[in-house]
Amino acid sequence: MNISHLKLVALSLILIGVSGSSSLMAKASEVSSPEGMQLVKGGEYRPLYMSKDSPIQSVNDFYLDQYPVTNKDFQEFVKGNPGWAKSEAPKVFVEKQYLQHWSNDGYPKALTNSPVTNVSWFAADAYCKAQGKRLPRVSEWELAALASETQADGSVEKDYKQKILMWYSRPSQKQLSAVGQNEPNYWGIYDMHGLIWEWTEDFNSALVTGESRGDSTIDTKLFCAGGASGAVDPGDYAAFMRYGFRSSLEAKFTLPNLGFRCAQDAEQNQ
Amino acid sequence: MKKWFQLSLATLLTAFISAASASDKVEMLPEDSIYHLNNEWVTQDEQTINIKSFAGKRQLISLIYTHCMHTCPTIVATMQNIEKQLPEDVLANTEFVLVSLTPNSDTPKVLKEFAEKRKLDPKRWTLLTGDKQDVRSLAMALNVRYKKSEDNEVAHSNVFTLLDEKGRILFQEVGDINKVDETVEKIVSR
Repeated sequence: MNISHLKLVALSLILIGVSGSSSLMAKASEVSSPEGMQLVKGGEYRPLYMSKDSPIQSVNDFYLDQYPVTNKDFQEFVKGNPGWAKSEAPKVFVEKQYLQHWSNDGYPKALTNSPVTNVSWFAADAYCKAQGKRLPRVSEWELAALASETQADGSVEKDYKQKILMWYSRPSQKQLSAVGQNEPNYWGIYDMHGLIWEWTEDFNSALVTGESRGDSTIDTKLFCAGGASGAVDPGDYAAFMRYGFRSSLEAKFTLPNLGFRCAQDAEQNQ
Repeated sequence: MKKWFQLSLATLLTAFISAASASDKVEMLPEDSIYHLNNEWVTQDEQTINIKSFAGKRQLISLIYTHCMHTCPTIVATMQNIEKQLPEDVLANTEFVLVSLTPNSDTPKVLKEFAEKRKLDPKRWTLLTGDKQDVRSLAMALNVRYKKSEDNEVAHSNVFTLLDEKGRILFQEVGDINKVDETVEKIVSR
């Protein structure tokens, strides 16, 4: 074992230590949630592209993973479900870049606690199902992401949107940091902004064609009931970016900055 | 003796091939077959079937819901017109599948009534309902977008998809009654 290897081990230990202690702190505040998850109180979410008069979607209470799923977590899943190994997953479910940052033996050790990326919607969906969970819906994800560090609705804070936009305007990191390095939000959930994009169960509910020239107005011929479009809060650029990003995705896409976390209905645990 | 040997070899070989095709149907599918979804559905006749059982013939498939007032009737009518215009030899190798986007309200009974009302030939048409997660996965595999509203209406991509005998996507087309001739030509030429 040479010195650089030792350094790497020490660094990994520190990283594990950091995320370990922060999760302990968070757990103390929410005793009843399933391990590694936090309760998000339901509320109302107005879909971005619906008109001001359109019905607001109500979101029930739900649990959401505190952290995005890491490389380490995902490797555990692959061990139990070899059909999702890098070389085994059918091409109908994953692009060829699936887990491209892994060698055949697994992930680089420096990325142990970093979010797993280069995973398709199908792989993320299978992972969550294997844990008895599911992917969060767009409405749930957006509701949880609305929280600042101190309030359930961060949008009432003056600098909140600006802060999130700052992240969107920065280029992606070459190597993703470990999860849980920043402050948790109001719900005790980490990294909703600032680290990766995340898959949602119903990302394909964004009714645009993906062809930007065709989407200046939604082509009502392409979608049944597609005429009900307009925008609610044109000031929320970050939400527009997420909406646009989701619209451009296909379920088998695998991207270096796109990962996921899982959710669960709150009733299951009562 | 030689003849006997040849015969038993042939029998063994046949047995081997049929055993392999029964158990390895999924494994033998091409990598880009949507039949890897391997999920189960209920037909209008209350039969439970696995999606991979559609392998063997071409399938013209669309996601709709029976109480849809706008686009779905056009999709179904377009598919029916295609059925009418396909040459017999092509039609013999083509089946039609409608999958419900509102599986809670589209029970097998509702699907059956819909099929009868629209005069969908039960020999060639299968209507499916199932688990809503499986509907989501199938839509993902076909790259169909949809959004359910709280009144059980669904805004959705107005498309149908032609799958080849092994469940690979040959092409997708917008449901448009004026495009029937064009689509028939496309199906015949593939």
